[in-house]
Amino acid sequence: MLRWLTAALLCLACAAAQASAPRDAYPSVAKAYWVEIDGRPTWAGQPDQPLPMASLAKLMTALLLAEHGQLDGTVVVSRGAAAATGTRLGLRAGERFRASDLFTAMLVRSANDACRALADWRGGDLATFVAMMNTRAGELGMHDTTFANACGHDAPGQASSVRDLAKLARAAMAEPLIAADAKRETFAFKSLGGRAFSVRSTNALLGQFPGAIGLKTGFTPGAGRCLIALAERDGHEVLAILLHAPDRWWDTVALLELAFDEARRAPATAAR
Amino acid sequence: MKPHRFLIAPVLALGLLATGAALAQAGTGNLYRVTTKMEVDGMPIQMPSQSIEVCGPKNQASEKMVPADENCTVTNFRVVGNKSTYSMTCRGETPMTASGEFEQLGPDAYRGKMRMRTEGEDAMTMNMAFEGKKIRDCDFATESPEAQGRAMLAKTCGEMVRMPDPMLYQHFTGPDAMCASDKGKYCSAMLAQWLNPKSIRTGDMSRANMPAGTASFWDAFAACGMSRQAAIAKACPMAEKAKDYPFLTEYCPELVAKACAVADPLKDGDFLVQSCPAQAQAAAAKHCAGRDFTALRSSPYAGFCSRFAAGSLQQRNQGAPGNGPAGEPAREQPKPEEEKKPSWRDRLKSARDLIGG
Repeated sequence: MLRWLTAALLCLACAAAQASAPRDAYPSVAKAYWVEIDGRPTWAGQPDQPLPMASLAKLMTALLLAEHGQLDGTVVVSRGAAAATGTRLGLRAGERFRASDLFTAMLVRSANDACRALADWRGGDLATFVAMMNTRAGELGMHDTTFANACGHDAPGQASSVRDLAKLARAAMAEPLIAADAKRETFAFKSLGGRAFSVRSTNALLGQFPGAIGLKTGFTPGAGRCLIALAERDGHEVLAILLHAPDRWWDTVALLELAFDEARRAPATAAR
Repeated sequence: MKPHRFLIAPVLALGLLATGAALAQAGTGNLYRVTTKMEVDGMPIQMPSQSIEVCGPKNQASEKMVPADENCTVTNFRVVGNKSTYSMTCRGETPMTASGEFEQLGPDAYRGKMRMRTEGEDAMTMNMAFEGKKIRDCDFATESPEAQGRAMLAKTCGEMVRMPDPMLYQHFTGPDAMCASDKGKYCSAMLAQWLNPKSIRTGDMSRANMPAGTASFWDAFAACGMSRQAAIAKACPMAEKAKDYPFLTEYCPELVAKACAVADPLKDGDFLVQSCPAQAQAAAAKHCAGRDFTALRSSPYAGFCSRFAAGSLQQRNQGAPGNGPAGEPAREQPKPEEEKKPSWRDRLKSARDLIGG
């Protein structure tokens, strides 16, 4: 009798989960994608497929740094950081910076040398920092995610799913430092030796898509073009995550527009 | 319904709610201070006595002394000596039957009692005793409960005409409408305020969230002799003039093609993308096609291009499994442009950045 009752309850739980499961309405946009409207997963394709996530990994780096605090400390650029490839600021080995400046440059410009310098500074060495990233991912319930490096370079074992990245995005946006940097269009700062830097955000939505407030871009040959976009309009919030999206800007803009349309329709639909 | 409502109603009826047949009698009346005491059979609670001032007729033996309202009928009014007796039946929200008597205590005072029985599930019997004492003379034609009720009704009807809510149409239309004499004024004011594209569209949107069968502004229009078809025929030219494209799309399909021809992608991007596939395609080819999203940063057409991209994405994914019946309605879209090839800037970026934004 008890077994039947348990089975029936499980069936009910399945039905409820199915009713709220996101629909794969726009499979053409990316290898994997995820759209939440006001916190409700609405559309998704391949939500649990681990894929390379490129610089979206920097969100975990930023989260660990923000949670640890003490970003008023001084970072000395390591040789490894100065040699970082891809998008970079051109930091020199031995150069000194305020950690908070490198933190912002890492998020705004997706600068790999800034990211690596911070990981070395916080973890003592890269391997230790990556282990911290994986521990934190486990704590956040990111079961399809493993990090092999701090900044998102293609590497075996460097992968995440869009569902996991949504959890990471939420955790990151709960940190005021990250939320503030996520919407910065430009950032200017100086090394402690006085060398000036000025960077522009890699997120093309900022200042161009009405309501855009973040969050992070990514690109590697293995990951393709990736994006976590966050926008607010008329009291509604939309989070869109795309991995390997050939036309990430136009398709993200389209997804956001459609999501806001859906959000406007939702109250009436719910009432019916 | 709560019992106390039954208790209060007759007391109020005595002084305030009387709006019955007009009393033609002119001249003065007596202003009485009337003290009432009420008891309910089977209820141990003692109601406190209440006093009100009522302008009654000079003649205490008049049927007008009976506290009846417009829903009540007084029968068997008889006068024997200094006593009057009567029966009363009331319909409406609080149906009841009653019988009572008045006793004149000289020219300036009276007393009486009334036994009332309400109907329905919460039926109860109440006994009311009252005494009236003259305070001064009054003008029965203007101060009587009936006259005050009429004045109050006229004021209420006037206010409703000044702010003509379609939901209140039943107060003005139909044979038993309390403001029937103001129907013409109400209908003119209500239609002047509500027969326009914005109000119709807003009204219909609100209606979508109401239970089926709920009266709506369309019922108010109909009660005022304005059919839905006639109303839309009047509203469509207004929408065309005001360039209210959402209204035209929903209510005036015959005017859409004309509107498409003059719609501006800068201002009317949504309308173009949703309702004018040929014009949207042409505008997109001119202002969006083949352009990097970032290249449109300072373009005034960025908004239109975003809407067009949304329409194109829907079109591209129309057959997707998640776009089935539970999905959103598919819009008519022009064939999307050829898949964009990477721009020279994309290629440069790819070559330069092993990893980047």
